[in-house]
Amino acid sequence: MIGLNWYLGAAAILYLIGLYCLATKRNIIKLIIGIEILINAAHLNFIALSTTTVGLDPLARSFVIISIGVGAGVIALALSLTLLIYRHYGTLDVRKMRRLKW
Amino acid sequence: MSLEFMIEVALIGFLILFAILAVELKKLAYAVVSLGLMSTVLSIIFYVLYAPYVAVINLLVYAGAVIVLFLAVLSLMSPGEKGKREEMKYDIATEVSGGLLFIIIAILMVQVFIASYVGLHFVYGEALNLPVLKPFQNILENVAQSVWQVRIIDVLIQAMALFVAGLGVATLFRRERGEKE
Amino acid sequence: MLPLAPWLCWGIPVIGALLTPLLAKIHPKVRDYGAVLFSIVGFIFALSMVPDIFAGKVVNWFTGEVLSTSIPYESKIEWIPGLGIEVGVLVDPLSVFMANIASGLGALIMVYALGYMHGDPDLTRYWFFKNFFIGGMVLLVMANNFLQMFIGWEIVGMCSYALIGFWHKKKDPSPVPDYKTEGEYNAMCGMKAFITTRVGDVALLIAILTIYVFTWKAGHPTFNFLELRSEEYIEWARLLVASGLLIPTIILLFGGPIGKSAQFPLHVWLPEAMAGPTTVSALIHAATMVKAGVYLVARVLPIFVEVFKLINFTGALYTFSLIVACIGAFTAFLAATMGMVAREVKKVLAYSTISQIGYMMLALGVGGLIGYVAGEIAEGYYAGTFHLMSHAVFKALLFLSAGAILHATETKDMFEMGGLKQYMPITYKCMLIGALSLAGIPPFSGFWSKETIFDAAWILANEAYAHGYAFIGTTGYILLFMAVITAAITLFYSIRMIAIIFLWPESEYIKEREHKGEHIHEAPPVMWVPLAVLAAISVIGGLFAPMFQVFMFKGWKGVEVHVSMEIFAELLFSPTILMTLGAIALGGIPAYYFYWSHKIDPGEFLEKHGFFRAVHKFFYNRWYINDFYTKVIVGGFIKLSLGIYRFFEQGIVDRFNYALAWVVRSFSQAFRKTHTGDLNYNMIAVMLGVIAILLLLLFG
Repeated sequence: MIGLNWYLGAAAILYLIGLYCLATKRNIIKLIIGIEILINAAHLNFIALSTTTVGLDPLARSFVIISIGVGAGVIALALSLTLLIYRHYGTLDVRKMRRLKW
Repeated sequence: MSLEFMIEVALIGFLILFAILAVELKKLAYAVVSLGLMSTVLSIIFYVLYAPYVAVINLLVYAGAVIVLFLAVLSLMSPGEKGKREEMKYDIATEVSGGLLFIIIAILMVQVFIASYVGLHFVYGEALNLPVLKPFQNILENVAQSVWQVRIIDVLIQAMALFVAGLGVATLFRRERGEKE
Repeated sequence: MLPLAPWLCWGIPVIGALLTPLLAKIHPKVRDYGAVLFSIVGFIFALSMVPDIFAGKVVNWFTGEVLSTSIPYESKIEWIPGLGIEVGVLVDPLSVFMANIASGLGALIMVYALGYMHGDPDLTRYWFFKNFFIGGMVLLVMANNFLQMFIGWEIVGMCSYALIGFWHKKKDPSPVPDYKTEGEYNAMCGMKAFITTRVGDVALLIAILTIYVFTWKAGHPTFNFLELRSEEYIEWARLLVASGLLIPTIILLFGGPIGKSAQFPLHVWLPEAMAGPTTVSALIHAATMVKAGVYLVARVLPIFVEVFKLINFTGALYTFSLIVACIGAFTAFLAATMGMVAREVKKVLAYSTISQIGYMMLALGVGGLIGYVAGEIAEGYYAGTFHLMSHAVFKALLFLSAGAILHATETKDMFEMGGLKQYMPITYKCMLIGALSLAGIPPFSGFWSKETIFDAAWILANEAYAHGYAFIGTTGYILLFMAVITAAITLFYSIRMIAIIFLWPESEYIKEREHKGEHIHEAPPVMWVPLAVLAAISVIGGLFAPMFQVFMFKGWKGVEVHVSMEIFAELLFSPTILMTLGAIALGGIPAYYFYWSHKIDPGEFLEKHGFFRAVHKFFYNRWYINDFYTKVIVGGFIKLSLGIYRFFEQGIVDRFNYALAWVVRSFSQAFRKTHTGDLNYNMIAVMLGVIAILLLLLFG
């Protein structure tokens, strides 16, 4: 087994990739992909930190299970909104949707 | 440099590779497939980390259902969209500042990581390295107990919320189709 | 019981409610029958718990597993163990009894509504709230802790509000000049009910939280009924007494029942609640929801007795019981006098509901007082719950009969009916049985239950004198006297109602309808079959008194009851029977002359006698309590608000707001450029935030 650090590092890098995606991409689908990467990074962190030689923390795992369900719900909602936006505006560019700005 | 070590490092490498691909690929369909591969790799990592339940659910939900949903949404868009390259211009301001911040955060994270390693080591003592092996049966029971006894109400409420969310998404799709007719 | 019955008996109606909109997509018929089916299945689950109570142990019928060898049986899931918050159900005689009343009458009334509400355009909403109400009510009574009970309490309040204002789209002219359409009036009635009961609910919530805070201080935070009364965790009561908050708390706790059960001084909402469909009035505002208050008192009374005995502070029990009994007796009298002069048939029934619930409160209060003087509350407790049962049945019967009449004649005013006996013979018979039961004529169920209450008051007076409590003894006689007078008035208005609707000559309105060819017809079978079922129960209900007694006292410490017929003999040969006969004569003879035989015309009689005219006016205007509330509380509130508005709001707050608005506007103008409405820029800000956190971790 490799150390905990590798996994924590991997989670940190995933998190960074997600943030980078959200900060630079303009396609809504890409943004949703970024959100999912962020969620996955958090899950990896949870699981990695709950796995020690002292014991395995079942609570952290059950939290991750619940969080996976919630994340899936969030993404499904985001996708359906995307579809509506696409039909309404005819584009996926997030910058075109700024009608609320005055 | 055992085989195990190499496999695990390779898994992490693939994880990050697919994440980068998911973000950077120009064709949306490819990006989504890459995301699915990333979720699959992540599931394997969960399995390696003695979290079989999480692995299976992650595989089913993120690598399965969500990807199918992505593809379904893409297929509902105009036929050219999924294969179309992103035609949007690059915005220098966000690309540059985002990249710059990316690098800064990465450097800081390494710093924090090194700084906190001492602290973590203090908390966990010798336990910081991952366990060699644990009987599987035990883990399954623990997690099942945790989900079904301690957090049962959360699970039920969540199941209901997801059901309602599914209904809501279905309604959103449906109404749109009705308007078109 | 059937597996998981205590959970499913409220779960199934709630699920049915949630599924109603989906079923409506398939076909309206599927929705209608589906909703009724869900309520009936819920009732079957509730019913399956009854044999367990009689057997004294809880058995899963399918697996044969014995879940508990004693009553009460509790099944619960801890949610947040550290805070004592849990979700659970309690199977004991009271909860099973109430659950059966709620879901049984609910199912019957749902069947009736198939006919009564037929063709209404908003039926989806109707079935949803109806099933949701049944679920909420059964949740309320099955709950094993105050918090969950309060959730049910609020659910039924919400459903009541939504169903009173159910016909808020009606465009007919309003019955009250203040509103444009009948729909607006209906919506206002719902609002009035909601706000008035809210006053009591807030009091109840304060009381529950006070108790909770003190259980917290005592080291074991809990809402659980069983844990509150157990000797192990009794410390909370001692702390509560030491802080001097015990009496205020239990009085506030009674505030909930006062609001929900429409007792004086919060009784004003119930007559207006009759604006809803008659099925709603029958289920919510006669048979079940208004009984929630009685249920709560019956639930806490044994807890109080035990707790106060454990901490040697029985004075609190005395105060609580005295308040309950006096408010109950006074409300019974007050509402009965209003019922004597009401013009609308549903209003008469509403007043009589308030009055009869007053009886139940009186009985429970008397039980508490007997507990104080002689140590056993069983008499009054039994009388209150027994009257609750018989009242639920005969009042639902009366409302459903009234519904059939309203359905046929399309008017609410009794004086626009008359002569309906020939057109609607089945409804006439059923309603007559209901009215006689309400009036307490032997041998209908109402007689036995009312007689039990008189008997309890009589026992209280005697016991109190025997133990040397002269004041309580006198109070007992006064309570008994008020109860008997109320019984006389009840008989008077029951006869008046029946006679005016069925026996008087046909009114102009009916003749006109007949002339136009809109013949008045008997209700369809789907409506009169539930009526007949209820009427049958009303006739023979009294015979089940011994079994009911055995049922109610299963699992009580120190009370041994066996099925015996002595209970009837005791009632028939007790001294109170004379008072009952006197009451029948007192109320029945004038009513016979005025209304039944119609020898003296009541209108002319009032013309002649100025005194009775004044009394009539006083009663008809509901003792001016309603006007008083409107003027003083509503009007006063508006005046106070206006004053605050002028001097404080306009003078101080507004000026401050202008200044604030100016500052904010200049500020936002300056920073407007940063709000690009662009997600990418926002995310860059998030990244900056991450950097800040990391820096803090490094150097902080």
